[in-house]
Amino acid sequence: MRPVKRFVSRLKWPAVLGILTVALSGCGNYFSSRASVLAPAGPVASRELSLIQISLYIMLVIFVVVMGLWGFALIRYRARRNDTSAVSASTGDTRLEILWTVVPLLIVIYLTVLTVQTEFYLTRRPNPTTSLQVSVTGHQFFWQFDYPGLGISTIHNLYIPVGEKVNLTLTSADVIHSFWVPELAGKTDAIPGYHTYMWLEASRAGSYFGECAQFCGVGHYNMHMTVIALPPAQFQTWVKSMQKKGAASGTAWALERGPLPVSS
Amino acid sequence: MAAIAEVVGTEPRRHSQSYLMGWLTTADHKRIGIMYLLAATFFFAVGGLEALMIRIQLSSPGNTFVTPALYDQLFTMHGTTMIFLAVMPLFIGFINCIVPLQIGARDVAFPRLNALSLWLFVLGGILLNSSWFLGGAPNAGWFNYAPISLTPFNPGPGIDFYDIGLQLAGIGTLMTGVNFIATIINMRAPGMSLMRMPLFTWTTFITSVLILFAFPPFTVNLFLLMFDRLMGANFFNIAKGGNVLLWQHLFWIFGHPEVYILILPAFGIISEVIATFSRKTLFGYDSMVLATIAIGFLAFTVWVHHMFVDGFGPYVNSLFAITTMAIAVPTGVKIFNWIFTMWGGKIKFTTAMLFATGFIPLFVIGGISGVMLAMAPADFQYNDSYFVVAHLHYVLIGGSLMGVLAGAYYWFPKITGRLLNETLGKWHFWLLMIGFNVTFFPMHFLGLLGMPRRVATYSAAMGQAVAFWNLVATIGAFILAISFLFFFYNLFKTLRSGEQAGPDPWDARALEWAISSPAPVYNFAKTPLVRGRDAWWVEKTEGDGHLRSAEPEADPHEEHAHHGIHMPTGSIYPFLIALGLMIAGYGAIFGLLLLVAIGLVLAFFSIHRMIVDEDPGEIVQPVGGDGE
Repeated sequence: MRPVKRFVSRLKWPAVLGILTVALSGCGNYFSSRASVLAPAGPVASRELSLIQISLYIMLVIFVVVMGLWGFALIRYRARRNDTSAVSASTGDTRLEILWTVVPLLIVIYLTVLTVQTEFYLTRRPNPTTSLQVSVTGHQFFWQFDYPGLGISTIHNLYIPVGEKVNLTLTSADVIHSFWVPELAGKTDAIPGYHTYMWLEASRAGSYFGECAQFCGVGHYNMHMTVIALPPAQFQTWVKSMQKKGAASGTAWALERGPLPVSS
Repeated sequence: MAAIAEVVGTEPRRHSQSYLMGWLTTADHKRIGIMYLLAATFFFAVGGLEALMIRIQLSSPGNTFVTPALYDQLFTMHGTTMIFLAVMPLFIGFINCIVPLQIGARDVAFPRLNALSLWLFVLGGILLNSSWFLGGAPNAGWFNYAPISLTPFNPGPGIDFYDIGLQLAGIGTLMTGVNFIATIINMRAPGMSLMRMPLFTWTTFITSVLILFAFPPFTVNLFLLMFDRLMGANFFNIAKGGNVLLWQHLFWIFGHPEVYILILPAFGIISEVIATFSRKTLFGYDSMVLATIAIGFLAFTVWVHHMFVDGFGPYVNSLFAITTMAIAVPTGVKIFNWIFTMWGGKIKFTTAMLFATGFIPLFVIGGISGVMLAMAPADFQYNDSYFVVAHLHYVLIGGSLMGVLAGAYYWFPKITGRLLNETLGKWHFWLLMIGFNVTFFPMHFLGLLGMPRRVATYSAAMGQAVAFWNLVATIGAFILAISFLFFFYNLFKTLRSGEQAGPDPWDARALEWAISSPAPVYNFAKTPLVRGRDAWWVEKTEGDGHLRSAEPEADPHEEHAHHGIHMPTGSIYPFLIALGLMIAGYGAIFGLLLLVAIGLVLAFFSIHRMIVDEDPGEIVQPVGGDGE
């Protein structure tokens, strides 16, 4: 029991921050999942996570300062028996009020700069001649991927080469959906009547779980996909085999219908 | 209601009127406020039960407690009910009960319009909830995006119930906004300058302005949807040149100010309660008022932050990220002002004060995650995930509902004349704090672990952590529900046998505490003269403990003959207008044109009568000298 108490008494803010850092970096059973924002596998998700982390740390400092003032006021100024002293007659303090207007303003300006930089980085579309183009169509309740330059279509599975930027053009065949592969990139909505754009890149080979994030009807909970990132050579092999399959069936398009990932 | 009537039965009743007709026809702002509070509490309980069913369903992966189709109705009705039928009308209830008292008025500017607001809300809410029994509840989310709300994807009547029900309730809310703008501008007692108004009156004023500008776009949206669904129009039908994003823009141009409609009154309540129980005047009153105005203005400039993933591009997203983050500054000013109101005071931890102080950490957490969400590229990850669910509940429960509950414990004695039990109140507070945080804090993790919102279930393959935190959240939800059993029991017990409060049980500061509890029907026997901020406190500390009258002294022998108080009389027509519109609403939903005609005839006949009928008013004789 005693060592536990000693541990608790030694628990200081750096330690708490440390624990949170470990938690946020994806270690530990209680902070990992099949599709975690905290375990990025590409530059887009990494940039997004670092923005999340920086803002979280700044916000934690603010939280500690505000809660410190709050806790101090609650304890120090609680009404006590037999205390006949007068309450403070203060009705305001211009210097203090300027301070707690200007400091948050400066923090917000700093966060704004980070936000705008990241926003422009993430929405800058890769050069269409050097990057893979994929058209994504949301359906109730599955995802369809068309590779217009390659004559390939897939359902449920999006194949991409590792280390290359993939340019996605999204739309929907029915209602609004939202394309989300947490380990690779944040969301973009697929909206009927519109084309929206995003790009993503996988830094290492693997399969990444993806979901529809915008409520789209009774099958919304089960509208999943898998992004399969292959090393470039293997990706080329896959493209060739698909095209051969298409030629064999006498159509210009080869369709692969993958298994629906994770049925509940 | 019977128990409340005993203690609030102050309205002079004509002999021809039954008890029920007394309530149906009342134009008394205090009775209207009580009916708002009762109806909203009922809807709050309904929304709470829906939330519990949601949490039971999500307690383990792959659960089959409800079907996905039923789950969609549950989360839609939970959100819609809590926002439109519970939290907002709870605030409107307090506003009705308290604001006329705080400014020294006899009633609101338009008492019968006020009754119409009430009945539109009550009957609109009943119509919306009756969908459960009439073909299925709405199932496209409280945000009800097109095109999933359109007939091809949603052929049942649920969305029509949403559309018509919220039209009725929304028009009622709009009229409340108009009413309180007029009341606060025109009906303040002499000496109550704008910069002497209590903060709750100030936030009510700004809230009313927000209602005035925010609800019309929503009403327009509902009409467009009604045209599309019931009359074959194509505003949102892309096949015929319609546009699905039109709904989103109009919805969030309303929807974001709506968030501030739900929080500004809480800010006002927290300001009143913290000042009273710190025994200090509010710190930085001027900056509190300015911050409220700034938040109200900025509220209309941020709506696209709900649409960051719509692919509008970096310029639009950056602009709306900046305006959104800017709101953090005036909100922060308020937090610091509350803390420094307590600073140097003598804090008395009544239940009302516990809720007001507990508001601060919860709302700060909600504010912090709000700033994080405002950073558009980070929002690409948070958007439509459980991180947002955590954020919005920290703001709406940790902020709005904590404000409602602080107000409930604080003003219950003024409204009913009895003090809520403090022991039960403290149980309520501590269980709520535990249950709330256990429920909603883990949802931050769930969002970051990749759990989207509005999923009827999730797979065990998502990982142990997702299942674990979901179970924790469900346990928390039951603790939260139990805390409210303490509250409801407290209400019930207090109404039957609660301690008498007396006019000023908290030794408080604003004018409502200068008159008896519950307030007499005419409020102030004589219109008071306001001599400073914290008007009642000024009289207690610098005056003789009695309100000064702003009316000229009359000859005491003639007073009773000529100087009764002229009060508005009630009318059944506000109720009949709302009833007529409700009947027409059912007719529209089920395509029964005859019913539409009957309802509209009743509504227009009643409107006509309400306009042409003269209100002779009633003369009421005050009881005591200055109303005590």
